[in-house]
Amino acid sequence: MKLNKAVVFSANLSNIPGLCSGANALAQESVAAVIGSREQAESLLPWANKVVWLGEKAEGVMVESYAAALAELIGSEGAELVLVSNSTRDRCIAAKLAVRLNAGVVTDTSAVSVTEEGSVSTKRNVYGGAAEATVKGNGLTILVVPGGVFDELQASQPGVLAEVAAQPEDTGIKLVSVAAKQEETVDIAVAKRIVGVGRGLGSQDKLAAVESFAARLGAELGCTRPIAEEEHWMARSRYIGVSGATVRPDVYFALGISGQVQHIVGVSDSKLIIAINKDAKAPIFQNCDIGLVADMNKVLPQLTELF
Amino acid sequence: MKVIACYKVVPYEQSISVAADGSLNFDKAELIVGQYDLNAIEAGAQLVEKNGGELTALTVGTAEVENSKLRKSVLSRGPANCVTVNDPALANADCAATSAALAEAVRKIGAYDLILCGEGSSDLYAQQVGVQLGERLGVPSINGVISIEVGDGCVTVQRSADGEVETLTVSLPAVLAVASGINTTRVPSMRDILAAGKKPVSTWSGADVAVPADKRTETLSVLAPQKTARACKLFTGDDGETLAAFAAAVSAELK
Repeated sequence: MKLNKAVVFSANLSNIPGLCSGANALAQESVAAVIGSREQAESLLPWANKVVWLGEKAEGVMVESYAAALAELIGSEGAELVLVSNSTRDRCIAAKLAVRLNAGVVTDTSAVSVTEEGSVSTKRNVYGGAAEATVKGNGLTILVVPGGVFDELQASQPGVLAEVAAQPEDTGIKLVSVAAKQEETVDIAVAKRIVGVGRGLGSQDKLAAVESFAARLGAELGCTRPIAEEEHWMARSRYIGVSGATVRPDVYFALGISGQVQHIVGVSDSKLIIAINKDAKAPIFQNCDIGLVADMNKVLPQLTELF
Repeated sequence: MKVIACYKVVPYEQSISVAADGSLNFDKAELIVGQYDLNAIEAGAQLVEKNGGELTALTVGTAEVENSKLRKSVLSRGPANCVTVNDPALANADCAATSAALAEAVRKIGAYDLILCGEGSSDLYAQQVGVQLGERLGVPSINGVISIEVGDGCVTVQRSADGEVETLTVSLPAVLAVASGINTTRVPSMRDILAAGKKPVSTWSGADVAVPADKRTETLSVLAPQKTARACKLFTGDDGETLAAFAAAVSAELK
Protein backbone atom coordinates (compact mmCIF):
# COMPACT_ATOMS: atom_id res chain seq x y z
CA MET A 1 0.00 0.00 0.00
CA LYS A 2 1.21 3.48 -0.84
CA LEU A 3 0.11 6.89 0.37
CA ASN A 4 -1.08 9.41 -2.22
CA LYS A 5 1.48 12.12 -1.79
CA ALA A 6 4.60 12.94 0.23
CA VAL A 7 6.31 16.31 0.49
CA VAL A 8 10.06 16.42 1.11
CA PHE A 9 12.00 19.34 2.57
CA SER A 10 15.47 19.96 3.93
CA ALA A 11 17.36 23.12 4.77
CA ASN A 12 20.36 21.25 3.35
CA LEU A 13 19.60 20.38 -0.29
CA SER A 14 22.04 17.45 -0.32
CA ASN A 15 19.56 15.54 1.87
CA ILE A 16 16.78 15.81 -0.70
CA PRO A 17 17.70 12.90 -3.05
CA GLY A 18 17.69 10.44 -0.12
CA LEU A 19 14.44 11.80 1.29
CA CYS A 20 12.80 11.75 -2.17
CA SER A 21 13.81 8.12 -2.57
CA GLY A 22 11.88 7.41 0.62
CA ALA A 23 8.95 9.47 -0.61
CA ASN A 24 8.89 7.53 -3.89
CA ALA A 25 8.88 4.24 -2.00
CA LEU A 26 6.11 5.30 0.38
CA ALA A 27 3.83 7.43 -1.79
CA GLN A 28 2.43 7.52 -5.35
CA GLU A 29 3.71 11.04 -5.82
CA SER A 30 6.74 12.84 -4.40
CA VAL A 31 7.01 16.60 -4.15
CA ALA A 32 10.31 18.25 -3.19
CA ALA A 33 10.04 21.77 -1.76
CA VAL A 34 13.27 23.63 -2.49
CA ILE A 35 14.58 26.91 -1.14
CA GLY A 36 17.66 27.82 -3.16
CA SER A 37 18.65 28.83 -6.68
CA ARG A 38 16.64 27.81 -9.74
CA GLU A 39 19.60 25.66 -10.87
CA GLN A 40 19.58 23.83 -7.55
CA ALA A 41 15.84 23.22 -7.83
CA GLU A 42 16.25 21.94 -11.40
CA SER A 43 19.11 19.63 -10.38
CA LEU A 44 16.70 17.79 -8.08
CA LEU A 45 14.16 17.02 -10.84
CA PRO A 46 15.44 13.46 -11.43
CA TRP A 47 14.56 12.56 -7.84
CA ALA A 48 10.98 13.76 -7.45
CA ASN A 49 7.74 13.77 -9.44
CA LYS A 50 7.51 17.48 -8.83
CA VAL A 51 9.95 20.07 -7.54
CA VAL A 52 8.35 23.18 -6.10
CA TRP A 53 10.88 25.97 -6.23
CA LEU A 54 10.09 28.38 -3.39
CA GLY A 55 12.74 30.87 -4.48
CA GLU A 56 16.04 31.88 -2.92
CA LYS A 57 16.32 32.45 0.80
CA ALA A 58 16.10 36.17 1.52
CA GLU A 59 19.26 37.83 2.81
CA GLY A 60 19.64 37.79 6.61
CA VAL A 61 16.67 35.47 7.12
CA MET A 62 16.70 32.02 8.72
CA VAL A 63 15.30 29.17 6.66
CA GLU A 64 13.06 28.41 9.66
CA SER A 65 11.14 31.60 8.80
CA TYR A 66 9.69 29.76 5.79
CA ALA A 67 7.73 27.32 7.98
CA ALA A 68 4.47 29.15 7.21
CA ALA A 69 5.10 28.96 3.45
CA LEU A 70 5.92 25.27 3.76
CA ALA A 71 2.82 24.59 5.83
CA GLU A 72 0.73 26.28 3.14
CA LEU A 73 2.37 24.22 0.39
CA ILE A 74 1.87 20.94 2.27
CA GLY A 75 -1.77 21.85 2.83
CA SER A 76 -2.41 22.84 -0.77
CA GLU A 77 -0.70 19.69 -2.07
CA GLY A 78 -2.91 17.60 0.20
CA ALA A 79 0.10 15.54 1.28
CA GLU A 80 -0.29 12.70 3.77
CA LEU A 81 3.38 12.49 4.64
CA VAL A 82 6.19 14.99 5.12
CA LEU A 83 9.83 13.90 5.22
CA VAL A 84 12.64 16.08 6.58
CA SER A 85 16.21 15.26 7.57
CA ASN A 86 17.51 14.77 11.08
CA SER A 87 19.28 18.12 11.40
CA THR A 88 18.77 20.85 14.00
CA ARG A 89 17.13 23.17 11.46
CA ASP A 90 14.88 20.49 9.97
CA ARG A 91 13.80 19.32 13.44
CA CYS A 92 12.89 22.92 14.27
CA ILE A 93 10.88 23.24 11.06
CA ALA A 94 9.18 19.87 11.73
CA ALA A 95 8.00 21.15 15.13
CA LYS A 96 6.63 24.36 13.59
CA LEU A 97 4.84 22.43 10.82
CA ALA A 98 3.42 19.91 13.32
CA VAL A 99 1.61 22.58 15.32
CA ARG A 100 0.43 24.56 12.27
CA LEU A 101 -0.84 21.48 10.43
CA ASN A 102 -1.98 19.58 13.56
CA ALA A 103 0.23 16.73 12.43
CA GLY A 104 2.10 14.05 14.36
CA VAL A 105 5.90 13.98 14.30
CA VAL A 106 8.14 10.97 14.64
CA THR A 107 11.85 11.76 14.84
CA ASP A 108 14.94 9.67 14.32
CA THR A 109 13.10 6.90 12.53
CA SER A 110 15.14 3.81 11.67
CA ALA A 111 12.49 2.20 9.46
CA VAL A 112 9.36 3.49 7.75
CA SER A 113 6.53 1.62 6.04
CA VAL A 114 2.88 2.09 5.11
CA THR A 115 0.37 -0.32 6.65
CA GLU A 116 -2.50 -2.08 4.85
CA GLU A 117 -4.83 0.57 6.31
CA GLY A 118 -2.74 3.31 4.81
CA SER A 119 -1.13 4.74 7.91
CA VAL A 120 2.54 5.44 8.41
CA SER A 121 4.36 2.96 10.62
CA THR A 122 7.84 3.70 11.94
CA LYS A 123 10.46 2.30 14.26
CA ARG A 124 12.67 4.36 16.55
CA ASN A 125 14.86 3.84 19.57
CA VAL A 126 13.64 4.88 22.99
CA TYR A 127 14.96 4.69 26.58
CA GLY A 128 18.53 5.38 25.54
CA GLY A 129 18.55 2.47 23.13
CA ALA A 130 17.21 -0.04 25.66
CA ALA A 131 14.08 -0.48 23.54
CA GLU A 132 12.66 0.01 20.09
CA ALA A 133 9.22 1.54 19.69
CA THR A 134 6.82 1.00 16.81
CA VAL A 135 4.97 4.27 16.30
CA LYS A 136 2.03 4.82 13.97
CA GLY A 137 0.88 8.17 12.63
CA ASN A 138 -2.77 9.22 12.81
CA GLY A 139 -3.46 11.36 9.75
CA LEU A 140 -0.83 13.73 8.37
CA THR A 141 2.54 12.60 9.70
CA ILE A 142 5.91 14.36 9.64
CA LEU A 143 8.96 12.14 9.81
CA VAL A 144 12.45 13.28 10.76
CA VAL A 145 14.62 10.72 9.01
CA PRO A 146 18.39 10.32 9.44
CA GLY A 147 20.55 9.90 6.33
CA GLY A 148 21.07 6.35 5.10
CA VAL A 149 17.60 5.05 6.07
CA PHE A 150 16.38 5.17 2.46
CA ASP A 151 18.41 3.81 -0.46
CA GLU A 152 18.99 6.59 -2.97
CA LEU A 153 17.06 5.78 -6.15
CA GLN A 154 16.02 8.23 -8.83
CA ALA A 155 12.33 8.60 -9.59
CA SER A 156 11.15 6.54 -12.56
CA GLN A 157 10.01 9.73 -14.35
CA PRO A 158 11.95 12.99 -14.08
CA GLY A 159 9.79 15.56 -12.31
CA VAL A 160 8.25 18.83 -13.37
CA LEU A 161 9.24 22.20 -11.96
CA ALA A 162 6.67 24.47 -10.33
CA GLU A 163 7.33 27.93 -8.94
CA VAL A 164 5.87 29.44 -5.80
CA ALA A 165 7.20 32.79 -4.57
CA ALA A 166 7.43 32.03 -0.86
CA GLN A 167 7.75 34.82 1.66
CA PRO A 168 9.47 34.50 5.04
CA GLU A 169 7.34 35.37 8.05
CA ASP A 170 8.30 37.56 11.01
CA THR A 171 9.16 35.02 13.70
CA GLY A 172 10.35 37.51 16.33
CA ILE A 173 13.86 36.13 15.84
CA LYS A 174 16.50 38.22 14.09
CA LEU A 175 19.54 36.66 12.52
CA VAL A 176 22.48 38.82 13.56
CA SER A 177 25.37 36.78 12.19
CA VAL A 178 26.39 33.29 11.12
CA ALA A 179 29.82 31.78 11.63
CA ALA A 180 31.07 28.42 10.43
CA LYS A 181 31.58 26.12 13.38
CA GLN A 182 35.22 25.59 14.23
CA GLU A 183 34.55 21.91 14.54
CA GLU A 184 34.30 19.78 11.39
CA THR A 185 30.90 18.34 10.48
CA VAL A 186 30.63 14.98 8.78
CA ASP A 187 27.48 13.09 7.84
CA ILE A 188 28.79 9.78 9.04
CA ALA A 189 25.36 8.16 8.58
CA VAL A 190 25.92 7.75 4.84
CA ALA A 191 29.37 6.07 5.05
CA LYS A 192 29.65 2.50 3.72
CA ARG A 193 32.66 1.65 5.88
CA ILE A 194 33.27 3.07 9.34
CA VAL A 195 36.08 2.65 11.84
CA GLY A 196 34.83 3.57 15.31
CA VAL A 197 37.08 4.14 18.32
CA GLY A 198 36.35 4.08 22.02
CA ARG A 199 38.22 4.66 25.24
CA GLY A 200 40.51 1.71 24.48
CA LEU A 201 42.41 4.16 22.27
CA GLY A 202 44.00 5.50 25.48
CA SER A 203 45.30 8.83 24.24
CA GLN A 204 44.77 11.24 21.37
CA ASP A 205 48.25 10.80 19.89
CA LYS A 206 47.31 7.22 18.99
CA LEU A 207 44.64 8.46 16.55
CA ALA A 208 47.18 8.71 13.72
CA ALA A 209 47.45 4.90 13.52
CA VAL A 210 43.65 4.62 13.44
CA GLU A 211 43.50 7.21 10.65
CA SER A 212 46.00 5.21 8.56
CA PHE A 213 44.00 2.04 9.16
CA ALA A 214 40.75 3.77 8.14
CA ALA A 215 42.39 5.33 5.07
CA ARG A 216 43.65 1.91 4.00
CA LEU A 217 40.10 0.54 4.20
CA GLY A 218 38.52 3.61 2.63
CA ALA A 219 36.52 4.05 5.84
CA GLU A 220 35.11 7.09 7.64
CA LEU A 221 36.11 7.64 11.29
CA GLY A 222 33.55 7.47 14.09
CA CYS A 223 33.68 7.29 17.87
CA THR A 224 31.80 6.68 21.10
CA ARG A 225 30.29 9.44 23.21
CA PRO A 226 33.21 9.79 25.67
CA ILE A 227 35.70 10.34 22.83
CA ALA A 228 33.64 13.21 21.38
CA GLU A 229 31.97 14.74 24.42
CA GLU A 230 34.35 14.09 27.31
CA GLU A 231 37.82 13.82 25.76
CA HIS A 232 37.00 15.99 22.70
CA TRP A 233 39.44 13.95 20.58
CA MET A 234 36.99 13.85 17.68
CA ALA A 235 34.24 16.14 16.39
CA ARG A 236 30.78 15.60 17.83
CA SER A 237 29.47 14.84 14.34
CA ARG A 238 31.52 11.63 14.47
CA TYR A 239 29.83 10.41 17.63
CA ILE A 240 27.76 7.25 17.07
CA GLY A 241 25.12 6.23 19.59
CA VAL A 242 21.83 7.14 21.17
CA SER A 243 22.08 10.94 21.15
CA GLY A 244 24.54 10.92 18.23
CA ALA A 245 24.49 9.36 14.78
CA THR A 246 22.86 6.09 13.85
CA VAL A 247 24.83 4.33 11.12
CA ARG A 248 24.19 1.34 8.90
CA PRO A 249 27.41 0.74 6.97
CA ASP A 250 28.43 -2.42 5.12
CA VAL A 251 31.15 -2.88 7.72
CA TYR A 252 31.76 -1.34 11.13
CA PHE A 253 35.11 -1.74 12.89
CA ALA A 254 34.78 -1.25 16.66
CA LEU A 255 38.25 -0.49 18.01
CA GLY A 256 38.74 -0.30 21.77
CA ILE A 257 34.97 -0.09 22.20
CA SER A 258 33.50 -2.03 25.11
CA GLY A 259 30.03 -2.19 23.53
CA GLN A 260 27.63 -0.42 25.90
CA VAL A 261 24.02 -0.54 24.70
CA GLN A 262 24.02 3.24 24.08
CA HIS A 263 26.71 2.77 21.43
CA ILE A 264 25.58 -0.59 20.03
CA VAL A 265 22.15 0.81 19.26
CA GLY A 266 23.81 3.24 16.86
CA VAL A 267 25.60 0.52 14.89
CA SER A 268 23.31 -2.50 15.20
CA ASP A 269 22.06 -2.18 11.61
CA SER A 270 25.61 -2.56 10.25
CA LYS A 271 25.87 -5.51 7.87
CA LEU A 272 29.13 -6.68 9.41
CA ILE A 273 30.67 -5.76 12.78
CA ILE A 274 34.35 -6.39 13.43
CA ALA A 275 35.66 -5.77 16.96
CA ILE A 276 39.12 -5.39 18.44
CA ASN A 277 39.37 -5.07 22.21
CA LYS A 278 41.91 -6.25 24.75
CA ASP A 279 39.19 -7.26 27.22
CA ALA A 280 37.83 -10.67 26.20
CA LYS A 281 34.80 -10.06 28.45
CA ALA A 282 33.78 -6.80 26.69
CA PRO A 283 30.12 -6.98 25.58
CA ILE A 284 31.15 -5.99 22.04
CA PHE A 285 32.30 -9.58 21.49
CA GLN A 286 28.70 -10.75 21.85
CA ASN A 287 27.68 -8.23 19.20
CA CYS A 288 30.27 -8.79 16.50
CA ASP A 289 30.72 -11.09 13.53
CA ILE A 290 34.48 -11.33 13.85
CA GLY A 291 36.46 -10.31 16.92
CA LEU A 292 40.08 -10.00 17.89
CA VAL A 293 41.08 -10.05 21.54
CA ALA A 294 44.18 -7.86 21.49
CA ASP A 295 45.40 -4.35 22.29
CA MET A 296 44.20 -2.23 19.36
CA ASN A 297 47.19 0.10 19.54
CA LYS A 298 49.61 -2.80 19.38
CA VAL A 299 48.00 -4.58 16.42
CA LEU A 300 46.77 -1.72 14.22
CA PRO A 301 50.04 -0.95 12.39
CA GLN A 302 50.43 -4.60 11.42
CA LEU A 303 46.76 -4.98 10.46
CA THR A 304 46.98 -1.89 8.26
CA GLU A 305 49.66 -3.73 6.26
CA LEU A 306 47.52 -6.87 6.03
CA PHE A 307 44.50 -5.22 4.37
CA MET B 1 12.81 38.28 34.76
CA LYS B 2 10.37 35.44 35.07
CA VAL B 3 11.79 32.18 33.73
CA ILE B 4 10.13 28.76 33.48
CA ALA B 5 12.25 25.62 33.05
CA CYS B 6 10.45 22.49 31.86
CA TYR B 7 11.54 19.00 32.80
CA LYS B 8 10.34 15.43 32.51
CA VAL B 9 10.44 12.62 35.07
CA VAL B 10 11.61 9.46 33.28
CA PRO B 11 12.66 5.92 34.18
CA TYR B 12 16.42 5.50 34.38
CA GLU B 13 17.10 3.37 31.30
CA GLN B 14 19.76 1.23 32.98
CA SER B 15 17.23 0.08 35.59
CA ILE B 16 14.58 -1.07 33.09
CA SER B 17 14.52 -4.86 32.91
CA VAL B 18 13.62 -6.91 29.84
CA ALA B 19 11.29 -9.91 30.08
CA ALA B 20 11.81 -13.08 28.06
CA ASP B 21 9.28 -11.94 25.45
CA GLY B 22 11.19 -8.71 24.91
CA SER B 23 8.69 -6.54 26.79
CA LEU B 24 10.01 -3.99 29.26
CA ASN B 25 9.45 -4.14 32.97
CA PHE B 26 9.44 -0.79 34.78
CA ASP B 27 8.53 -2.18 38.24
CA LYS B 28 12.06 -1.77 39.57
CA ALA B 29 12.99 1.15 37.36
CA GLU B 30 14.33 4.10 39.28
CA LEU B 31 12.87 7.51 38.34
CA ILE B 32 15.16 10.37 37.39
CA VAL B 33 14.88 13.91 36.03
CA GLY B 34 15.76 13.81 32.31
CA GLN B 35 19.47 14.51 31.93
CA TYR B 36 19.00 17.13 29.16
CA ASP B 37 16.32 18.87 31.24
CA LEU B 38 18.91 19.48 33.96
CA ASN B 39 20.71 21.75 31.45
CA ALA B 40 17.51 23.78 31.01
CA ILE B 41 17.07 24.12 34.79
CA GLU B 42 20.74 25.11 35.16
CA ALA B 43 20.46 27.70 32.36
CA GLY B 44 17.39 29.17 34.06
CA ALA B 45 19.09 29.24 37.47
CA GLN B 46 22.12 31.03 36.03
CA LEU B 47 19.92 33.61 34.25
CA VAL B 48 18.00 34.62 37.38
CA GLU B 49 21.14 34.56 39.53
CA LYS B 50 22.78 37.00 37.10
CA ASN B 51 19.81 39.15 36.06
CA GLY B 52 17.45 38.85 39.00
CA GLY B 53 13.94 37.44 38.82
CA GLU B 54 12.44 34.09 39.56
CA LEU B 55 12.72 30.60 38.12
CA THR B 56 9.75 28.21 38.13
CA ALA B 57 10.19 24.52 37.37
CA LEU B 58 7.35 22.88 35.44
CA THR B 59 6.59 19.28 34.57
CA VAL B 60 3.60 17.40 33.17
CA GLY B 61 2.95 13.67 33.29
CA THR B 62 1.28 11.03 35.43
CA ALA B 63 1.78 10.13 39.12
CA GLU B 64 5.59 10.04 38.75
CA VAL B 65 5.69 13.86 38.59
CA GLU B 66 4.75 14.01 42.29
CA ASN B 67 7.76 11.97 43.38
CA SER B 68 8.89 14.16 46.29
CA LYS B 69 12.55 13.19 46.12
CA LEU B 70 12.82 14.29 42.48
CA ARG B 71 10.83 17.46 43.09
CA LYS B 72 13.24 18.32 45.88
CA SER B 73 16.18 17.53 43.63
CA VAL B 74 14.81 19.96 41.01
CA LEU B 75 14.15 22.66 43.64
CA SER B 76 17.68 22.29 45.01
CA ARG B 77 19.02 23.39 41.61
CA GLY B 78 17.78 26.99 41.66
CA PRO B 79 14.01 27.18 41.00
CA ALA B 80 12.00 29.20 43.56
CA ASN B 81 8.96 26.99 43.09
CA CYS B 82 7.69 24.00 41.20
CA VAL B 83 4.49 23.22 39.30
CA THR B 84 3.53 19.65 38.52
CA VAL B 85 0.59 18.57 36.36
CA ASN B 86 -0.48 14.99 37.05
CA ASP B 87 -3.16 13.48 34.85
CA PRO B 88 -3.68 9.88 33.72
CA ALA B 89 -4.46 11.16 30.21
CA LEU B 90 -0.78 12.09 29.91
CA ALA B 91 0.35 8.45 30.10
CA ASN B 92 2.51 7.71 27.04
CA ALA B 93 1.98 11.27 25.81
CA ASP B 94 3.67 12.06 22.50
CA CYS B 95 5.46 15.36 21.89
CA ALA B 96 2.27 17.03 20.63
CA ALA B 97 0.31 16.08 23.77
CA THR B 98 3.20 17.00 26.09
CA SER B 99 3.73 20.40 24.48
CA ALA B 100 -0.03 21.08 24.50
CA ALA B 101 -0.29 20.26 28.22
CA LEU B 102 2.78 22.40 28.96
CA ALA B 103 1.22 25.28 27.01
CA GLU B 104 -1.97 25.05 29.08
CA ALA B 105 0.05 24.95 32.31
CA VAL B 106 2.09 27.99 31.23
CA ARG B 107 -1.16 29.91 30.51
CA LYS B 108 -2.33 29.11 34.04
CA ILE B 109 1.02 30.16 35.56
CA GLY B 110 0.53 33.54 33.86
CA ALA B 111 3.10 36.10 32.72
CA TYR B 112 6.61 34.94 31.84
CA ASP B 113 9.62 36.22 29.94
CA LEU B 114 11.40 33.05 28.96
CA ILE B 115 10.68 29.33 28.89
CA LEU B 116 13.59 26.88 28.71
CA CYS B 117 13.44 23.25 27.62
CA GLY B 118 16.17 20.65 27.22
CA GLU B 119 17.15 19.40 23.77
CA GLY B 120 15.06 16.27 24.22
CA SER B 121 13.65 14.00 26.91
CA SER B 122 15.87 11.20 28.18
CA ASP B 123 13.23 8.54 27.47
CA LEU B 124 11.80 9.40 24.02
CA TYR B 125 14.30 12.04 22.84
CA ALA B 126 12.01 13.35 20.12
CA GLN B 127 13.63 16.83 20.34
CA GLN B 128 10.32 18.49 19.49
CA VAL B 129 8.65 19.74 22.67
CA GLY B 130 10.47 23.09 23.06
CA VAL B 131 9.70 24.47 19.60
CA GLN B 132 6.19 22.96 19.57
CA LEU B 133 5.51 24.66 22.92
CA GLY B 134 6.58 28.03 21.50
CA GLU B 135 4.36 27.56 18.46
CA ARG B 136 1.37 26.69 20.65
CA LEU B 137 1.94 29.76 22.80
CA GLY B 138 2.41 31.91 19.69
CA VAL B 139 5.82 33.19 20.80
CA PRO B 140 9.25 32.96 19.15
CA SER B 141 10.95 29.60 19.68
CA ILE B 142 14.21 28.05 18.55
CA ASN B 143 16.31 24.95 19.27
CA GLY B 144 20.02 24.24 19.57
CA VAL B 145 20.74 27.19 21.90
CA ILE B 146 24.28 27.17 23.35
CA SER B 147 24.38 30.56 25.14
CA ILE B 148 21.89 33.17 26.37
CA GLU B 149 22.50 36.87 27.17
CA VAL B 150 19.63 38.99 28.44
CA GLY B 151 19.02 42.30 26.64
CA ASP B 152 16.24 44.90 26.66
CA GLY B 153 13.02 43.03 25.86
CA CYS B 154 15.01 40.35 24.10
CA VAL B 155 17.71 37.75 24.56
CA THR B 156 20.76 37.34 22.37
CA VAL B 157 21.49 33.69 21.88
CA GLN B 158 24.03 31.60 20.09
CA ARG B 159 22.64 28.61 18.29
CA SER B 160 24.54 25.65 16.97
CA ALA B 161 22.87 24.22 13.87
CA ASP B 162 24.13 22.09 11.02
CA GLY B 163 27.77 23.09 11.21
CA GLU B 164 27.12 26.78 11.84
CA VAL B 165 26.91 28.97 14.91
CA GLU B 166 24.25 31.66 14.57
CA THR B 167 23.87 34.73 16.72
CA LEU B 168 20.18 35.58 17.08
CA THR B 169 18.17 38.19 18.92
CA VAL B 170 14.94 36.70 20.13
CA SER B 171 12.18 39.02 21.31
CA LEU B 172 10.56 38.11 24.64
CA PRO B 173 8.55 36.26 25.71
CA ALA B 174 10.09 33.24 23.98
CA VAL B 175 10.82 29.54 24.27
CA LEU B 176 14.37 28.23 23.91
CA ALA B 177 15.43 24.59 23.67
CA VAL B 178 19.00 24.48 24.97
CA ALA B 179 21.68 22.08 23.73
CA SER B 180 23.35 19.93 26.38
CA GLY B 181 26.64 21.74 25.84
CA ILE B 182 25.22 25.05 27.14
CA ASN B 183 26.42 24.43 30.69
CA THR B 184 27.65 21.97 33.26
CA THR B 185 24.92 21.23 35.75
CA ARG B 186 25.53 22.01 39.42
CA VAL B 187 25.84 19.60 42.28
CA PRO B 188 23.42 20.98 44.89
CA SER B 189 24.90 21.65 48.34
CA MET B 190 23.38 20.25 51.54
CA ARG B 191 22.04 23.78 52.20
CA ASP B 192 20.33 23.84 48.79
CA ILE B 193 18.78 20.44 49.44
CA LEU B 194 17.48 21.47 52.87
CA ALA B 195 16.10 24.75 51.50
CA ALA B 196 14.41 22.88 48.63
CA GLY B 197 12.07 21.13 51.05
CA LYS B 198 10.60 24.50 52.10
CA LYS B 199 9.93 25.84 48.60
CA PRO B 200 6.32 26.09 47.39
CA VAL B 201 4.93 23.38 45.15
CA SER B 202 1.69 23.51 43.11
CA THR B 203 0.17 20.16 42.23
CA TRP B 204 -2.32 20.46 39.40
CA SER B 205 -4.34 17.89 37.50
CA GLY B 206 -6.44 17.71 34.35
CA ALA B 207 -9.13 19.53 36.34
CA ASP B 208 -6.87 22.60 36.52
CA VAL B 209 -5.19 22.32 33.14
CA ALA B 210 -6.87 21.03 29.97
CA VAL B 211 -5.03 17.93 28.81
CA PRO B 212 -5.35 16.98 25.12
CA ALA B 213 -7.34 13.84 24.44
CA ASP B 214 -6.41 12.95 20.86
CA LYS B 215 -3.05 11.54 19.94
CA ARG B 216 -1.39 12.45 16.67
CA THR B 217 0.91 9.47 16.96
CA GLU B 218 0.27 6.15 18.63
CA THR B 219 2.93 3.87 20.10
CA LEU B 220 1.96 0.32 19.17
CA SER B 221 4.76 -1.51 20.93
CA VAL B 222 7.92 -0.89 22.92
CA LEU B 223 10.20 -3.90 22.92
CA ALA B 224 13.83 -4.63 23.60
CA PRO B 225 15.59 -4.33 20.23
CA GLN B 226 15.82 -7.59 18.33
CA LYS B 227 19.45 -8.47 18.44
CA THR B 228 20.90 -9.17 15.03
CA ALA B 229 22.36 -12.67 15.11
CA ARG B 230 26.13 -12.29 14.87
CA ALA B 231 28.68 -15.02 14.26
CA CYS B 232 30.97 -13.87 17.11
CA LYS B 233 33.96 -15.63 15.59
CA LEU B 234 36.82 -14.76 17.93
CA PHE B 235 40.59 -14.69 17.50
CA THR B 236 42.84 -14.14 20.50
CA GLY B 237 46.39 -12.87 20.49
CA ASP B 238 48.65 -10.31 18.82
CA ASP B 239 51.15 -12.64 17.17
CA GLY B 240 51.66 -12.52 13.41
CA GLU B 241 49.88 -15.77 12.77
CA THR B 242 46.70 -14.76 14.66
CA LEU B 243 46.64 -11.36 12.98
CA ALA B 244 47.03 -12.93 9.55
CA ALA B 245 44.18 -15.35 10.26
CA PHE B 246 41.99 -12.53 11.59
CA ALA B 247 42.77 -10.31 8.58
CA ALA B 248 42.03 -13.18 6.19
CA ALA B 249 38.67 -13.84 7.87
CA VAL B 250 37.77 -10.13 7.66
CA SER B 251 38.95 -9.81 4.05
CA ALA B 252 36.83 -12.80 3.04
CA GLU B 253 33.73 -11.05 4.42
CA LEU B 254 34.58 -7.71 2.82
CA LYS B 255 34.58 -9.20 -0.69
